[in-house]
Amino acid sequence: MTFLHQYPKAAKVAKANFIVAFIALAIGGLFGFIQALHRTDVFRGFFNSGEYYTLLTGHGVLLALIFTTFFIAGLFVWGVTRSLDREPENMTFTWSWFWLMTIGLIMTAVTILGGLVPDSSIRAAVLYTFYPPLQAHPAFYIGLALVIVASWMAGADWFWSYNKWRKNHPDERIPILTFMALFTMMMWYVCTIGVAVEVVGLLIPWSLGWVTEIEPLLPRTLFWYFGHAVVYFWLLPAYYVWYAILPKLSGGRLFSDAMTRIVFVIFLLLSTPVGYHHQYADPGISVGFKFYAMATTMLLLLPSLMTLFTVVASMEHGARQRGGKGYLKWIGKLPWDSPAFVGCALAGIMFAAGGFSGMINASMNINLLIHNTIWVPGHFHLTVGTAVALTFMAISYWLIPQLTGRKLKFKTLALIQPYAWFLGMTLMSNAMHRAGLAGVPRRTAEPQYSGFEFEPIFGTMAEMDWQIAIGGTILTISLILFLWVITASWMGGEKSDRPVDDYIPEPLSGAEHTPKILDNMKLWFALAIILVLLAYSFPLWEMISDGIFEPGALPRPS
Amino acid sequence: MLIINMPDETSHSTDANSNSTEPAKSWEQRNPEIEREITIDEYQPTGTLTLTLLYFAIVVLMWIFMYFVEFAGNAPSIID
Repeated sequence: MTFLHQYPKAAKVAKANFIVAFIALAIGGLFGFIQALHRTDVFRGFFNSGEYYTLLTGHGVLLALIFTTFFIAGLFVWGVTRSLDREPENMTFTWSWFWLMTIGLIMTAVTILGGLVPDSSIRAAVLYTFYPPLQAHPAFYIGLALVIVASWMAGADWFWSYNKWRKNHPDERIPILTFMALFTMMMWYVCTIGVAVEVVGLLIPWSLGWVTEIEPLLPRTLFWYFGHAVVYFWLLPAYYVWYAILPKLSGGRLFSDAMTRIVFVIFLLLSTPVGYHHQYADPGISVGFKFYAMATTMLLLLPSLMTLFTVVASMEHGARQRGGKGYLKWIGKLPWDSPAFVGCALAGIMFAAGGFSGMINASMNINLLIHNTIWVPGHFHLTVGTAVALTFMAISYWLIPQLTGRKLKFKTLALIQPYAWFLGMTLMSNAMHRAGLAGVPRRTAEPQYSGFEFEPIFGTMAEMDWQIAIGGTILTISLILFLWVITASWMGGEKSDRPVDDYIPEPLSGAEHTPKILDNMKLWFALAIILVLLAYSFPLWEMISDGIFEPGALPRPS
Repeated sequence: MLIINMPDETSHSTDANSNSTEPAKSWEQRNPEIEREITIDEYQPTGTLTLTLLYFAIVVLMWIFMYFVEFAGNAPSIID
């Protein structure tokens, strides 16, 4: 008996979400490969430099918004169902959010891909941030709005299950798998208000031609209100895996239930009022609010460092239970031949490196050194591109067998895959960081550094270009390996009642040692709202006080 | 060695069901790869401390590197 046999309805929903996620991953990953060759001038024959920005938009939207959201939905369906021991309450409602999300995704994807059709009027080369002055076809924004509304419904579905469960278990602690899912979704509700207001209130009317003028700072600010918290919407499900599943894969137990809950509470509180740290270079927002955002961002290092401790301590516990000894020798006792473990562990190492470049990004003064340079993509390919994406891929090797009732095929290829991703990302990301330090811009089809004297601070331009191109190629090979292993296992893996050991042992320090107040969702949600109001109410009022559609400037050069 | 048979958060999980004939055994006892069970009182995460200190040392070195990139190694880039 595995998840599929116990909860067949939920398994079907989770599988549907994973299928969409993996298709988005395949297309978005291919676009990334083409970009890596194009901007480094290794090969520019696939598309022209105008179409590069369509590919860039497709890469960002399909991977950062679509792959993540669908995978997270599948993961949470698995976790909430399992830990509450309940199938979804109403399958019509559950399938309706899935299909609404899929329809939204198709609308958005079609408008982006339209940019590759010559003379098409349907296009959306607006990049992942999609705020003015770049303008997309209205269907792009409407599709995104549908995805967001559907994700709200998905969250409501899990709260519904939780409320039903609570009626039968009035005195029990929220099971940790459900706790983490619900706190992630509360954070998502807080932060998506911004992007919903931006898309529905400003961008859709503007793209339909109903209004011609928007205060240019307003949509940027509303986007970044959402745009930094969304990275925690990607990251927290990776933490979900690291806290709930990785300790067991290591051969141990989660170190502390209380630490886990505290970390998720802090992320709910602090994820949203930090958006201005993406706008350090924007005029029109006072430096005081930028400073507030910087302080809050630095405070967010705390839960990530707590995660570093708890997750590494849990892994060490596993290694020592497997016979590990010494200060560092225990690391060798970890299961470095298990694809699911290796992927999560390497993702964690990459995240530690990304943590450093994140501190630079968050610092108000040093940020100007790397603002809008390729350092920033270097940073987020370590965080969302590895910590999140590699964790999701790795845990698929453990989840998909539970959802399909089939054993994993091609285990050697599955084991090579995370190592290849790590190697490819090491090459690509270190070169991106160093190029960014030298001032090389991001989001540029043809950054040209030949024909004149240009000395980067560390290395040469040619060497960095080659590292990006070779790294991108290795990442693509790794992605193909992943898709091949998953597809082959899904279609033709050996059927089994118990294709994988899916037992999750209790934490070393369990919920009985955790303060009850951590489970008080209303309290933490209210505090999160207050912190957001402190950060955003005054600046937003300033931006709209002269009329939302009567700004001092056009949203694009006139 | 103190062995606690901890309640399972997913007590209805497949594993609990398939092992219903031997409920007294902890996960560690059932797992052939595990040599010994370490309880929270016995466990000293010294390896975690070592790795954390190493990470902090690397971060400090990187900050020093950034200092040279930003202030000491370059002429003012805008005026230049």
